[in-house]
Amino acid sequence: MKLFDELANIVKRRGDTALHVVAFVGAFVALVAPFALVTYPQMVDLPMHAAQTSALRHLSDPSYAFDQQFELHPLGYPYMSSYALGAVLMSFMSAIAATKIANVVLLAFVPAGLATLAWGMRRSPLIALAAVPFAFSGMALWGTVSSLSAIGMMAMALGLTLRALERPSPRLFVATGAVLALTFFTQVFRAPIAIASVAIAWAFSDKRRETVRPLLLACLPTVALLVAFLALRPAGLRPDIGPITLRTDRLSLVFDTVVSELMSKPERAAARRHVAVVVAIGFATFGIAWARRATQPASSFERRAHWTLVCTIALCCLGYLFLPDRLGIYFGAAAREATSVTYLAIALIPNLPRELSLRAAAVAAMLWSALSITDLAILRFVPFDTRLEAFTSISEQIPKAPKLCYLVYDEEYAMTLVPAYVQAEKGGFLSYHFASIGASPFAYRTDEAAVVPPPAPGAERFQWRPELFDLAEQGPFFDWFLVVSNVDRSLIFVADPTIRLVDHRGDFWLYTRTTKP
Amino acid sequence: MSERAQRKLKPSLESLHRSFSRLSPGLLAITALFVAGGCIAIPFVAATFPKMVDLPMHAAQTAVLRYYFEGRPDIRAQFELHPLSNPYMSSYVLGALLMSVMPVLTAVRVATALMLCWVPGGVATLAWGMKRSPLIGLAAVPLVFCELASWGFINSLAAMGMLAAVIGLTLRLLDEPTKARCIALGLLLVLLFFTHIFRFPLALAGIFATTVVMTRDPRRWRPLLFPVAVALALLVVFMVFRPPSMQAEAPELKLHTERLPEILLDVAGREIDEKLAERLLDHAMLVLALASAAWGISHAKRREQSDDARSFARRSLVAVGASIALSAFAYLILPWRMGTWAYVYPREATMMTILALGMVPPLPREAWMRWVAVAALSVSSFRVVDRVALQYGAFDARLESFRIVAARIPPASKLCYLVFDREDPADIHVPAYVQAEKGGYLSFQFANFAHAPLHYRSDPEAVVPPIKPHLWEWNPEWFEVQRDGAFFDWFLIHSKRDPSDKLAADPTIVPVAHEGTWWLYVREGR
Repeated sequence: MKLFDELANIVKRRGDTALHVVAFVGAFVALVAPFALVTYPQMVDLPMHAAQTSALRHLSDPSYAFDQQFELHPLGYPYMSSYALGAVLMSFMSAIAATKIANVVLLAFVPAGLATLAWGMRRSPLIALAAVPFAFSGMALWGTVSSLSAIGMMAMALGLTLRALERPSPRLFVATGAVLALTFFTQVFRAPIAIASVAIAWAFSDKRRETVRPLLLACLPTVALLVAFLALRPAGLRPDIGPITLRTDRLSLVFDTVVSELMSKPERAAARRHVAVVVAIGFATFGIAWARRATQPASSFERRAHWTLVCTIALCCLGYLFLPDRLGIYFGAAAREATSVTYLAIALIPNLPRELSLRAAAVAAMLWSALSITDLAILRFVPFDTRLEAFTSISEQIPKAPKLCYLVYDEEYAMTLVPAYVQAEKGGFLSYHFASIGASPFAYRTDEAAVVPPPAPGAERFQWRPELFDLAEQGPFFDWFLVVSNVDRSLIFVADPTIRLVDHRGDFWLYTRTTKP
Repeated sequence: MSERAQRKLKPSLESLHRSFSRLSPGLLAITALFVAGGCIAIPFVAATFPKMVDLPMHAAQTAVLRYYFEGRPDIRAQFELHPLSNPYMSSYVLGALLMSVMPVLTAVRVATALMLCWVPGGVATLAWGMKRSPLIGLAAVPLVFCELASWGFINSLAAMGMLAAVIGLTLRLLDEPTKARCIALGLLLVLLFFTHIFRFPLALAGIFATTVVMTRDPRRWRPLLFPVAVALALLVVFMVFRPPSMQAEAPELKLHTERLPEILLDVAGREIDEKLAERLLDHAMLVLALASAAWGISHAKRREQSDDARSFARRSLVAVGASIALSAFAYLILPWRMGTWAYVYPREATMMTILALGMVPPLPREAWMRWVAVAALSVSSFRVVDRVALQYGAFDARLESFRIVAARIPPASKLCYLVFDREDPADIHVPAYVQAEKGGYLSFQFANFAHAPLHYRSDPEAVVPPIKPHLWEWNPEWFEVQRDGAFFDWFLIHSKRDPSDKLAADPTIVPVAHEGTWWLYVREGR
């Protein structure tokens, strides 16, 4: 009995700490496990991000030939944070491993951002567990990890701001400024929304006068960066937005947009289950908070923080309902706001109840749901990784700094940019690169000394339209040709007898030019 | 507004608020009843021929019951009535009575809708029995149009609602016995007996489980003696008089845990329309949200309850949980078919869902919260039935050509029907509507089945169509005109291409009409 009482006391004292540790470890495992188990995660744009990370790392190394083709414009297209982190990591690990870790670190901002927002609203950060599955949502599967991460950074900036406004401290304002700047260098289009949310928080604050100066100073660097971006951005990011119309038809598509067409039926079912878990926890918590409002009324700070969040969500919602599907080369402009709205909505859940048993039940439910989604992500990643074993062995035959033309005839979206891993590891030139459509901090050099691949036909659609490849027009530049197809496509090269088949493994066919044309 | 005006207005507003608070529970109940009834009625108003596979056969049996008591010679020559050995009667009796005041097809639809009202009605009674708000019955409205309804298993669904009501009544009878509750339980058990015999023993098991959980004091079981005695008497009569075909062999029982992930599919249907599935999921999410909020509020206020109230709440939850466990056990071990009874284990998924709704925590007492809950459930239910009504309307429109062709068939005809090229399983028994409206004979009838209360006569004076083998109606290619067609004068065939070759071997059969995919033939010279 005495032992039982002692145990009960220990649980009472340390239980909450233990719960946070369990939540952190669980979130870590849920996030990292799929990436740790494979070499090539199944994310559509990830190979191109690996290539660009490698370009940043080896820009000054002539053996990679990046300096012959690229020039860096970090302010014109400030998609830099994952590349910078990956480039640092490439100092002591392979390009692909470094890219994976950099992306995992960025994805960690998803739950971390929500935890900071909850902390900023004086609520339990445990609710951030509900955000872990976003790391495997539609945006992640498309490989737009920076975009997803930037949403987490926006939440983090808002959380820090709320705390800074409640109890002004230089450290909190500096942290806010740093996160805003990081947001700018992660996904530039999220930065103005982050600043707007900070402004909304200030507008609701009861310490506006004393916090206006430090908050302005915190935002100033990011504002300056945005001004620089507006001046230096490439043509593809100066789109004619066109008429703005209200798209109420999108309201019924929120779930499908967040989940995306890339997800399988079991993954969609798991996503729905997760929504059910979060809904149950949210409404149960609301019920408890509502019933206890007489004895535990919400403070004025909590009310103001709540309305700040509501207005921020409303802003993102307006973006979802009004923005066009694309802004120049920026695809899915409206769709990304569906993710930001659903992500931020989690923070509307009132503070988890005091009782350790109820908190533990909520943590258990969210962890179970998150881990079941992780399990499905592993089931998605592993077969893809196995399929790329053939790619690994065939690309070993490609020399350093190749002039590589790649054509992907494959229905699996994630295969489309896989050959870009060759550039990530070995440098060289690619027939299709984000730099050719201006969707990169790297632009092709335009000076006379530049060595640049010919423009890809069909511009940004070329990656999806290999049939547009013209051997006579584009072919002469390239020495190596990598075709991904389940049938023999050698007929493509029949008009050029200098191109011969080197190897064929699985769905990968490697050709090389035996003599220069 | 001036202070004086405010002071003048305040008492009026307070009086209005007091009146509203007094009337609100009644208004809520009326609103919920209106919404539930309206939602159930909408799809049946949208179509003459609702999209339910077995409904045409139920229409035929209902009409046959009516014609039987009217003494129509063609019906009396075929059928005999066995209400106790095959007590699948309640919807047929209701429909037959309604036929006194409305056309046949309207009576069938009204009877069906009224039977389906037992689903939300049963949940409401169960909630009342658990001392919770019956308004939660609204959450069950979409269940009315689930997979079982699409197959036309109306009595099965209604019996599930009745079982829920039986448990609710039992709870209240044990807690506060009154004569009215005792009689009500007895009547409900009788009604359940005559609705779906296979649900009846489960209801008795539910009463037993509820009693054991709620009280160990045998003196408190006394109010149950009369209703249970009546039920047992009926069961004994059934066991004595049931035909051999209803004495199914004990099925091979095996635990099928692989069925667990499919529970929702078995409730909603595996071939369910995508949009309808989305709306059902939305409704489920809404119910989950309401239940979670209600739980949170009741958890926070639990110390305000008396010990007795808390004890009753706990035990009633366990009692309902026991019934759900029984259903779950049946779901996991029963086979898909037992004799002629199909779709056996999947029905328990719907039974579990109906009972689970009774476990939704008590709705908050505040009137405005209840209004929000009722409004949300109403909108959600309406979204579901709206989609169902669209489906029924589309099916109904497709049967326009059947209406035109069937109008040519005279009363009391000997009709053979074959359904090829089914666009939908609901096409399969459509020709049975001819017997429903005009009497006569059908090549395939539920009278073939053991559970039908109206059987084919077996005496020498009977005039009865040839008995068809099991699954005959699903296999029209088995038909051979010289072997199977001799009894019939009229032939109604559903086929995308000309089916005349099926009847070519009998030159006395000639085409009469053709509209869309419906072809009508008659035997000349009889």
